[in-house]
Amino acid sequence: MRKWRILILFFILAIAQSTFIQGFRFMGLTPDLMIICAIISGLVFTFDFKWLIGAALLSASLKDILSVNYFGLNIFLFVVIALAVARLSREITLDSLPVQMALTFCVCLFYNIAYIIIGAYLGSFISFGMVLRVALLGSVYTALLFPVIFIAVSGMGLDKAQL
Amino acid sequence: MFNLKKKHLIRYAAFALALILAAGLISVIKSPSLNILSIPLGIFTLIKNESAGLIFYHRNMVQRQRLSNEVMFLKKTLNDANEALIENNRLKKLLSFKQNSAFRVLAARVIGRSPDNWSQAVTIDKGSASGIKKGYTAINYLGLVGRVIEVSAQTSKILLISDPGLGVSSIVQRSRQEGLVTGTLSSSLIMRYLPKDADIAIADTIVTSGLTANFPKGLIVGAVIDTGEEFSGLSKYAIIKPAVNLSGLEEVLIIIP
Repeated sequence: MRKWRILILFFILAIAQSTFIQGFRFMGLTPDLMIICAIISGLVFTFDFKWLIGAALLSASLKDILSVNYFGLNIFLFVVIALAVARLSREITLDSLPVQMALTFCVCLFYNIAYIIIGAYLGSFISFGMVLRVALLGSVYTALLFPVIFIAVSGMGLDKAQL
Repeated sequence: MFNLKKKHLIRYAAFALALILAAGLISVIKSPSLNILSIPLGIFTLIKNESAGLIFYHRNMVQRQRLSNEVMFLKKTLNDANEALIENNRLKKLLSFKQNSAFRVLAARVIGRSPDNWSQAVTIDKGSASGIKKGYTAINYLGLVGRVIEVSAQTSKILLISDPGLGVSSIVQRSRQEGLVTGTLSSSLIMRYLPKDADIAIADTIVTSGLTANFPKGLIVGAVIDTGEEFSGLSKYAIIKPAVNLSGLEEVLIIIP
């Protein structure tokens, strides 16, 4: 039952991303709660493949539905992110918040670079200045918000140790 | 890190194929899912707006006072404009000018925004059931907002003019100089492809030229806040402040042609 709660939380976060979070715009950027969901999927369901994929797919499909992306781009990226984080979590300890924040920054950067490359391949050109601003600042902003979401997940009894 | 035996390779390939199918499925389920999601999105937006109203009570009170004064002033200006319009109509009739029909518009409420930083779009609570079609233009009382890019039965998505993917052919109202306005993913727009000797100055008003499909001529896009020369030195650009506050958009009007 606790595992279902995490999916409900992801659903609420997706709706909040489209509504509440827009009030926290900084230089036109918002933190990406859905990437945080993908990372949390990897951290929490490290040894539970079905739930790991299920949670990543839920957050990815919600993001794809709510945004104006190319096809189901996030389906690929989020599943890869969740799998990579789970794999990394098995190899090294990712328990401290600073490490998790650094991981979030790297994952966001990877996501943004992948997004730009796929976008460029599909003919959508974004200038270098915009790329730098969105990729770097957006990643920092998301990384700074990660502890808040992760502490909320732990507080609801949804972290790895309790599941 | 990954075991690349034949058995595992087949498993990875099957998994990748399943992901491709799932990604393809998104475009199929997008429209019905958006209809369902419009309910929680509407509720969350309502809660957000109400809580913002409470939090910013004092600011709203001061703003209300300022706006009341502005309304008084605008009423007088409107009266003068009406007088000019009546005179204009009379003169046009005299000259036998063909009258253009006024826009037919449909009001809609913004219920959500694009969740990523790479696009600037909003979701509205009206869709094909209300007569909205892909490609229709969105405006509000202040000027141009964007274009409808996705439509489901109950909701539609509007790509805002602040998105770099949307280009609007526009002209400087004063000098009739033409350029292309695109978004910058921030609070300002950029007007490109202006000749080096273009007659454009700070505070000039930019309006749509009517050359971009579905965007009627004369819609206000914004005002020039800065100008400069492109890196190549061959052309000029202008930074534009949109007439509409795109980050605080709550209602839009869809032009039904």
